[in-house]
Amino acid sequence: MSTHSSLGAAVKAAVHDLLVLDPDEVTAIAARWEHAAEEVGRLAFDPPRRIAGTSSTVIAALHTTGDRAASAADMLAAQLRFTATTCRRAAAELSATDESSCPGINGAG
Amino acid sequence: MRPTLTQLRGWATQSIIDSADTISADATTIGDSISGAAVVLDRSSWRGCSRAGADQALTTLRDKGNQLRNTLLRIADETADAGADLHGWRERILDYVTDVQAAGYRVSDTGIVTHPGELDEWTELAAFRHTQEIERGLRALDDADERYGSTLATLNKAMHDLATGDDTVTIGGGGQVTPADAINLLKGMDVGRRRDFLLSLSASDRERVIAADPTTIAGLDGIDFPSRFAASEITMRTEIVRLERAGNHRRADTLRSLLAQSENPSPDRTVRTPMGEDTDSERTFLYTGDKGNGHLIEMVGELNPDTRNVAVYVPGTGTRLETMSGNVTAARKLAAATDGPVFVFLDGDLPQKLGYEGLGEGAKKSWRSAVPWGLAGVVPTAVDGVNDSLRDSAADPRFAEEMAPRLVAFGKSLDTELSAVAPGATTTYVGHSYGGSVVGTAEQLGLRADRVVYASSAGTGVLEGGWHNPNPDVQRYSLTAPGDPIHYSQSLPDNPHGGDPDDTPGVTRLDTGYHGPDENGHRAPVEGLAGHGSYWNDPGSDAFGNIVKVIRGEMPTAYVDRGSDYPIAATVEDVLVPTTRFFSPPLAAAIDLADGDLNLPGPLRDIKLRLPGLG
Repeated sequence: MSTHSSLGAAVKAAVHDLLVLDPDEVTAIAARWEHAAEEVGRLAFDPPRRIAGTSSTVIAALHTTGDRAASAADMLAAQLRFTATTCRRAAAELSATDESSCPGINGAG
Repeated sequence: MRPTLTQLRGWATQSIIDSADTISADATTIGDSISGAAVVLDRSSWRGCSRAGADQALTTLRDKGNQLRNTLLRIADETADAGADLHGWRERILDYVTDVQAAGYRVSDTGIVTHPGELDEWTELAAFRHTQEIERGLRALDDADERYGSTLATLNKAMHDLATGDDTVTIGGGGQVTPADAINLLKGMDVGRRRDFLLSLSASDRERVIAADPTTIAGLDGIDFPSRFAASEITMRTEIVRLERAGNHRRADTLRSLLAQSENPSPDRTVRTPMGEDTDSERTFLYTGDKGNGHLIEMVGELNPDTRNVAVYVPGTGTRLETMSGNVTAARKLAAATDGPVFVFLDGDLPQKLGYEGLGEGAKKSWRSAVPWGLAGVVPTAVDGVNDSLRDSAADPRFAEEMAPRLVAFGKSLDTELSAVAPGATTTYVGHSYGGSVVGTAEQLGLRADRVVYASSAGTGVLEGGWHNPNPDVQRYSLTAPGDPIHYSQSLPDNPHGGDPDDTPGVTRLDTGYHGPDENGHRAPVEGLAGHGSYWNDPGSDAFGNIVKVIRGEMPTAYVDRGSDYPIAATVEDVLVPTTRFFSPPLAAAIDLADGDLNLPGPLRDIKLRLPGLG
C-alpha cells in the first residue's frame, strides 16, 4: 500500500515537473486581475473635480487632478484587463491542445 | 489668479480639505488592487517561459500602479495643506470684510474700502488702512494659491505622463531612463553628485522618480531636502495604512497627527495685524518607515538662502515618536529665537527608562530570598535586581553606539544641503542628557560641527578614545545646572557615557543662571532635578539664552558658581558627618551615589554601580 502511495506521489511530482502551467490556476489568476482592473477602473475621482470655485489655481489644478487620475487609473485598468485576457487565452489554448491531443494518444494506445 | 471677494465667497475650501482624504483613499485602493494581483501570481505554481512573461507584465503594472498611488498620496498631502491654508485665509478675509461692513464702510469686490457718509480725516485714514489690510490678506491668499497650485500642476503633469504611456524621464544629456533606473543611478553615484542629478530633471520627472521609490529617496544622503521631505510624506501616508491594518493604531494616529499643520516658528509675531496671520504650516520630516520607537528627523523652521545658523537637537531618555511633542515645542522656541531651523534628531532608539524603575521589584525579590537563604540569598538577588533594572536603561551605552553613526551620516547630508542652499551657515549640535552622549559618540566617530553643546549631558561619548571632529576649530560648550542629579553620573569613574563634559579640556562650561521672571518678576535659579530640563521650556531662562547665543555665534555667559553640583552629598558631609559622625542608612545611600558603589556590610565587596544618565 505504501509503495503504491509513494509511486502515486512520484508520478504526481513528475507530472508537476513536466507541466509548467495549470490552465485552471492561470484562469483564476486572470480572474483576480480582472477584478483588480474593475476596482481600479471604478475610481471616478469625482470629489476633486466637483470642488466649487473660480479664479483659484488650486481649485483649477484639482479639477485637472480628477481628470488626470481617472485617465491614469483607466490606463492601469486597461493594462490589467489586457494581461488577464492574454493569460486566459494562453490557458484556453493549452486546454484545447490537451483535448485535441487526446484522440491521437487514445488511438495510439 | 487673484479672486474678487464674490469669487472668494464661492471657494469651497472645506471641500478641498475633504477631497484630500478621498484622494488618499483612492490611492490606497489602487495600491491594494495591484498588490492583490501580484500576490496571486507570486503564490502560483505557474512556471516556464509564459510565467516569466506574466511576471514581466505584472512588474510593469506594479511599477505604474505604485507610481500612480504614490503620486496621488503626494497630491493628497499637498491638497490637505493647500486646503488648510486657503481655508484659513478665506475665513480671515471674509470675517474682516464683514466686520468692516458692520462698522458702516463699503467694501468693493476688489477690496477697496470707502465710507458712504461725510469723510473726515480719521474715517478716510481708517478706510485706507482697511483697504491695505484686505489687500494684504488677498495677497497672502494668492501667494498660497499659486504656490500649491503650481505644485499640483507639476504632479498632474507627472500623472499625465504616466497615463499616456510615457515610461521614461529625461536625464542630463537628453538620455531617457525609467524612473526605477533613475533611482538605481542615484544609488550608484557619489553622494556629492546626487543632488545635482535629481535637480537637473524637470519638476514633473523629479516627482515621478520620487513616486517610483519614495522610501529610497527619503533616506538617500545627498538628495536635496525638499525632495526627501516630499518622499517622506508619501512614506508616512503608506505606513499609516499599513500600521492600521497591523492593529498598531497608536503609532498610526501619531503619524497622522504629524502630517497635520502645526505652529510655524518663522512668522514674526512681534507685529500684530488686525486680520491675523497664518501661524501654522506643514511639518517637514525625513522618514523612511516605522522602526523601533519611531525613527525620524524633523526640521522645525525654514532652511533658505538667508539662513545663517542651523541647530541639530538630540533629545534624551524617554523620547520616542509618541512623546516627542515636548521636544518639538522646545525646538520651535529655539528656532524662533535663533532665526534658523532646528532639526530634532530621533533617527534611532533612545532608552525609555532611567534605570531605577525596577529596583523596587528587585528589593522585594531580595527580601523574599532573605527568608530562606539569609544574607547569602540577598546579595546575588540584589545584584541581579540592579542589573535587570539597568538593562536597556539610560545607563546602557548601546543606544548611543547605534544612534551616533546615523547622526554622523545626517551631519554630512546637512553639510551638503547647507553648502547648496545657505553657504556659510553654521551648524550647532545640541545633545540633551542621553542625547549628549549620542552627540559625543558621534564626535568620536567623526561628526563635523562648528559648535557643540553638551546640555545636561550624560557624558562625552561611549566609545574609547577622544573626539575626531574634522573641524579643528570646533567650539564646545557644556551646560549643567547645579544640583542636577546627572552630575553624579557624569563624575563616576566608570561612567558608561564617557567623561564629564563640564570638566573636559576644551569644553567651556556655561552658566545656567535663572529662569525667566514669573508674574511677580521673581527669577528662580535653574537648579536641582527640575534644572535637568526645565530651561528647554523657558526661552527667558539664562540657560536657554546661552544655547541660543552659541547657535547664533554670539558670546555666551561662562559658568558662574551658583551652588554645589552635589547638594545632597554636600549637605551630608557638611552637616551630618561633623556633628554626628554617623551615617543613617538612607543618607549613606546618598553618599553612595557620590562615590559610585553600593556599600555592603562587613567583609562583603561593594557592588560597583553603573548609574543611569538621568533623563
